[in-house]
Amino acid sequence: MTTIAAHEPGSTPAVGEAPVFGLLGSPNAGKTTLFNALTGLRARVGNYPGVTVERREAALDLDGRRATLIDLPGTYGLAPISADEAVVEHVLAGRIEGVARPDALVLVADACSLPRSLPFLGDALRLERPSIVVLTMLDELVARGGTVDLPRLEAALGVPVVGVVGHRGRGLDRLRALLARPEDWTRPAILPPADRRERAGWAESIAEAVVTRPPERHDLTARVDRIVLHPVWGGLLFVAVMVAFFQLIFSWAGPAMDAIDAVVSSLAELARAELPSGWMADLVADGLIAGVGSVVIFLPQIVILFSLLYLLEDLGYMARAAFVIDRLMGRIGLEGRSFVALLSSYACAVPGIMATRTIPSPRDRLVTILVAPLMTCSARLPVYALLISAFVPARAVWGPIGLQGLVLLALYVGGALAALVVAAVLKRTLVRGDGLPFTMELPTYRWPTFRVWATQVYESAWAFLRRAGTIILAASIALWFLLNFPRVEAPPDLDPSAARAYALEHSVAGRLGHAIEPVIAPLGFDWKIGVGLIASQAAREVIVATLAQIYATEDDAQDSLRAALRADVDPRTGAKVFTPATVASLLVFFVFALQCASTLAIMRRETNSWRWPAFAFAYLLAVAWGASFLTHRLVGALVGPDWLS
Amino acid sequence: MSPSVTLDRIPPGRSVRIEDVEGDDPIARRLDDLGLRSGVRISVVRRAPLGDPTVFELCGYQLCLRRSESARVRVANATDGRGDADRPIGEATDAP
Repeated sequence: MTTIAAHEPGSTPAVGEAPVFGLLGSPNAGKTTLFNALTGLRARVGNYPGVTVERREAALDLDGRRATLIDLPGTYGLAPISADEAVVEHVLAGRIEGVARPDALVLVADACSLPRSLPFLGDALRLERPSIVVLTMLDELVARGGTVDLPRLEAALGVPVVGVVGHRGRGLDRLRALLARPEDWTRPAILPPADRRERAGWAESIAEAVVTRPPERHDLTARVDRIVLHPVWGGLLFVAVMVAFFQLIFSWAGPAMDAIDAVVSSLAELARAELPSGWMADLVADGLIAGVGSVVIFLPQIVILFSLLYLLEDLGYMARAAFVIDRLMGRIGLEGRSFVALLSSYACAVPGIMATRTIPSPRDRLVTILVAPLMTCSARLPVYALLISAFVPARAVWGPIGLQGLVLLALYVGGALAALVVAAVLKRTLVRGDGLPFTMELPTYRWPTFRVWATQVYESAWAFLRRAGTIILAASIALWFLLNFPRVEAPPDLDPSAARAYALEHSVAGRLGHAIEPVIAPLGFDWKIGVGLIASQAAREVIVATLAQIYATEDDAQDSLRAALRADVDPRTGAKVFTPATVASLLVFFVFALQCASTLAIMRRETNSWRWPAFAFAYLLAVAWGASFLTHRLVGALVGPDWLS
Repeated sequence: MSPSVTLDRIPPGRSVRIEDVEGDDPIARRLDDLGLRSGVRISVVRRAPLGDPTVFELCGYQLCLRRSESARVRVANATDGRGDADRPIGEATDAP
């Protein structure tokens, strides 16, 4: 290693026995790949308080010496231009409670775009902490015919420089050896200039000296982009990739989810058979086992979504997809990268909300999270199917297009339009832009490495289980208690299904259903629908099973449930409960309302506070109530109550 | 001095030298962080199918910017561009 003139002792803070390293660099410099390569799967992932910026740190064992590595959020400069970017500044200053102040800095820069990063490196050196520079993507530099003189860069900067290929693990041994001895790192003899213009000149002169051969344009990338970003083919490819992406999540997750369902119900049966009958057996079977099932059921979608997402991301396509669709998303104040998250939410809002992590602007990410529940997820389908098949006549409207299909389509389109309108409104009011311009790097295409890809997928699934799964489980068990307690003895002359209906009516949820009746009566809902709405808070499709229980029909015989719904009359007035107005109003309610404990849990996890899930729940409930009320009035005025019979 | 225009007016395939980034606000500073500094050579690679944003190449990497940002970048409109988008990139400056 080149030795630089000894630095004046005492002018830089000493490094402790167990050093804390901060990994600092721009978003696409390969920081996170380097972090994972150094730490394996030991990262603690969380959020910084008050902002939706992910926090990652891990313990390092460097030849017996313990150290901590903090992966700082990617940033292009040290002068923050938004509250979220200020996190880097706060961590460096040790101002965030529970996050150790980094004693030493590992500055990461992409070797191919070194001239761009040099002013940032100069800025970081001015922090006067022991630092090393890690140049990543050396393989790409070589492939593009570029050379960088590392010893000369080391001499010019005055700190150690290591070249690595993070995803292949090259150069890591030397880096580890350096990390083990931060006391021995050379320090700059002269600090880079503070003035922005002077620093640019300083960076320019270094770039001229060390970039001995600038890299050529990546030939393969240029050729592939001629098709992938072509005005016509690029657009068509985008549509094809998105359709395939969506289709794969749906069709591959379906069988796995059915299998999980089957295992969960046979486990529940087993528990019921083994345990003495009584409420404990019910709790274990319907509360605990079903609750765990309601967490695990999300895993197929999450694993498939992130497998595809990270595959496209690691290949380099995700940035291109965002580039193609950016103009449309820009109209509503979001950017291209929000599109994939919203599309994923059509399958399920939980993985959709997790997919917002690829959106760099925290404000755009928050808005995307807040509107994701409006996309018509697959849990709404059983509800729509029940109501449409029971009440919308199966008659042809035009050729093969039937009325039932049109109603379903209208519900899907309505949700998507509402998401776009709400996003546009939020961006103009509550969650105004953070002043960040839209800037996105287009990486060169590269083959994904299995280890890097698998690590990302595993981390997403594990984060879901640990952080959201516990909340979902707790919510399912709490709802089970609401639906089953207090236990009231049914009159002995009732048959079993009538007894179950009786028990439900006298449970806390049943009483709540009665209690909220005045609030939901303007929407055309009676207490039975009220109980269904309360139960559907666990997951939307639960309302189907709950209605089956209330109407004392068998769960799996939907014909009898449909008949019971159609026949139900109000005991006081003798009028039909499910009028066209009420059915329309209930459908519209399901388009908007956030009846999903799992979505609330994942929002809590991703935004790091209950504030945003509470806001989303409240605004969507208000919109749902208002829209249902209008629908009920409108449909009631347009069609008479006898239209369906 | 050569007459200057803004970067959003340069058609794809051309390569120009940056003269200045307008303003001294956070957006101007961010563009500076991204390498859009005076003296840097930048190529216009292509526009998105819908006309915006545009891919640029500078300092050895490719960057997408919307018109609202690229309109702040003043570039030299001299003929030294020669449409030479295929020359090596990554040089911080041209010789003065």
